[in-house]
Amino acid sequence: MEEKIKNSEKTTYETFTQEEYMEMKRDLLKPLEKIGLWGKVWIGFLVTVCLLGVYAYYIQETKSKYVTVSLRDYTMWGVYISNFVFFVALSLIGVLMSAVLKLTNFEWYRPLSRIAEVIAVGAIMLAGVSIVAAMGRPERLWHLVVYGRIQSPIVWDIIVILTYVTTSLILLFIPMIPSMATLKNHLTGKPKWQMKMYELLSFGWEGTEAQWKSLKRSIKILTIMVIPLGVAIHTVTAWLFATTLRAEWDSTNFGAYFVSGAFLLGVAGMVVAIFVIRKAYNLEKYLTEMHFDKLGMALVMMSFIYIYFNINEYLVPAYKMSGLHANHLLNLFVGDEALFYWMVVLFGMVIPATLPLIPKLRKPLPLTVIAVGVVIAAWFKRYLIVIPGLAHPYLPIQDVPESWRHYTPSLIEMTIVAATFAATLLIVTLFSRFFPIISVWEVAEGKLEGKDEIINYK
Amino acid sequence: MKNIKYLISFCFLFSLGLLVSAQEKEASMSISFDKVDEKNVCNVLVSSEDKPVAEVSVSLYVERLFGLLPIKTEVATEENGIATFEFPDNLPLNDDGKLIVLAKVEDDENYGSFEEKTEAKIGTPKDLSKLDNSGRSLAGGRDKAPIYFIIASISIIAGIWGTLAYVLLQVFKLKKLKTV
Repeated sequence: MEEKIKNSEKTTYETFTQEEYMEMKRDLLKPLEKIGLWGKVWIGFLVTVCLLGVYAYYIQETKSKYVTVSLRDYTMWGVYISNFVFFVALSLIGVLMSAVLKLTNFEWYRPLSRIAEVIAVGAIMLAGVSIVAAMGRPERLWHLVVYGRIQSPIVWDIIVILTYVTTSLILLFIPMIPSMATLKNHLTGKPKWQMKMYELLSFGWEGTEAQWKSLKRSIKILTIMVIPLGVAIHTVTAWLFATTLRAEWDSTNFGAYFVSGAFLLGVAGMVVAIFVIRKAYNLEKYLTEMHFDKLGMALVMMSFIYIYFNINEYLVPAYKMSGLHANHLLNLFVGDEALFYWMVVLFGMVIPATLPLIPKLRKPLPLTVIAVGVVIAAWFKRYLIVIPGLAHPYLPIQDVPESWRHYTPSLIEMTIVAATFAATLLIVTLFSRFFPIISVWEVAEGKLEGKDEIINYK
Repeated sequence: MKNIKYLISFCFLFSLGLLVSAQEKEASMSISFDKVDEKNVCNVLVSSEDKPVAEVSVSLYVERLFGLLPIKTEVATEENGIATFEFPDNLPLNDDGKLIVLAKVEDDENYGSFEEKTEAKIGTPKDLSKLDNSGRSLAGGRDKAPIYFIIASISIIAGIWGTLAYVLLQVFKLKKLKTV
């Protein structure tokens, strides 16, 4: 008994001297060594799209929104807000792929956690940008702080987004401290400022027992905190709709419906991300077929949960077919938006719920194809939540101009949306060029503790 | 040839006569208010060429912010040319303490469409005190948030940001945990 207690108190603080560790380090630091031609072309492309977005925003703000975008009194939240909801949903990838798996001791999370965290940081930042793009008078954003009501969902949204950005950044950064020391000690041929940055950010890390203890404690606190926070951010986003008077959004189901959709998108996003990263940086040894297999199963589970909430959301009102609800539902089921709607159901729910049940389709390539479909469908799903609902207000205005009744995003809007995607990808790409995209110590720790499943799985 | 000329002239004059006879006559309205058995009554008199006109459908409205509030529609005038409406006394008055009352005749076969507006002082003054003096509520103003809500919000925000500050402090303390 005494021996048992002693063992449980004993913590293994690795010194990472093993040969295997050195090999791992070489593999995982390789992407930082040199940016190849295709890497430069990719970064150049993303920067160009971002700059086009900045220019489009300049036009939008200088020539007035009425002229440059299709937003009108009915559809006052267009593609910007649906894009915002998409990015908030994507940012929950950090909660699911890092925090939940970590706390529930799914060891295969190890090479995934940093990828998930950096996508979360990028996505939530661009979610904020999407809101500002939609604002009529962005220079008055501070009025929300000075004149806002604490009871207002929009004030809560700002608070929760700021908190989530900060938490995600800290949660991304703290597990990187040992990596900073590794970079400082092992990277060569890098500019002075870069090495100085690693030194500053390593906060005097030496890997002492006390430092490990403190670091792991901090990570645990943040990991626990980020789960309710992630759920809160997306629930508040859902409440922005549920508390607005529109037939489509009159739902007590909205918070859970949004969160379940975000988790499905998170899994799909992760599949696409690791497929690209393992190919681009030759990390097949770390992001293995096992990960795709597990993520494929997670995709099925999340799809079924999402389907359940969708049935609640659409089938119950469809049974009643009352008033304005009927307008909207018929529009989705058999009307103007039917093709869109059923494509989203097919690619965003039915296919990910069924096809990955076949083991062969959980291999990297087929699963990635399925996941790409889910990601695209997820974007359009948010579009279908935001836009058609706005077209049917409870208090219709008499003699509205025709342009208020229909909404098609303008070129300016689509350019800005494209730029937000490019910016998220740019954040992930640049991050992976300056910091290891897979946490060396977390993967090594898994291996040293005998959890071979991470890299030996075939 | 001569006969044809007569025929054309006759047709022309006959058509002209028809046109003149089919033209709508001019009519006007006047609105007045009265009290009958403690109830407010609005009388709309329709007249044409100073004579009252019977059997004309009149609708009565009150102008509101977003449109016309119908009091009653399509009430026919009687022999004396008057359409009588019971007028409510509980409509909120405009800022100037008056209501704009509108009587309309639409697509009458003899008189076409016309309308008349007048002001009335029948109604209740706007009472915003309910809004001003309402207690704390979720729907209240910036300074009217419920106390429990303020306490809950501040506790959650302080708890989370306090934890973040604590964790960051631990990062800055890492240097002290180096081997000496």
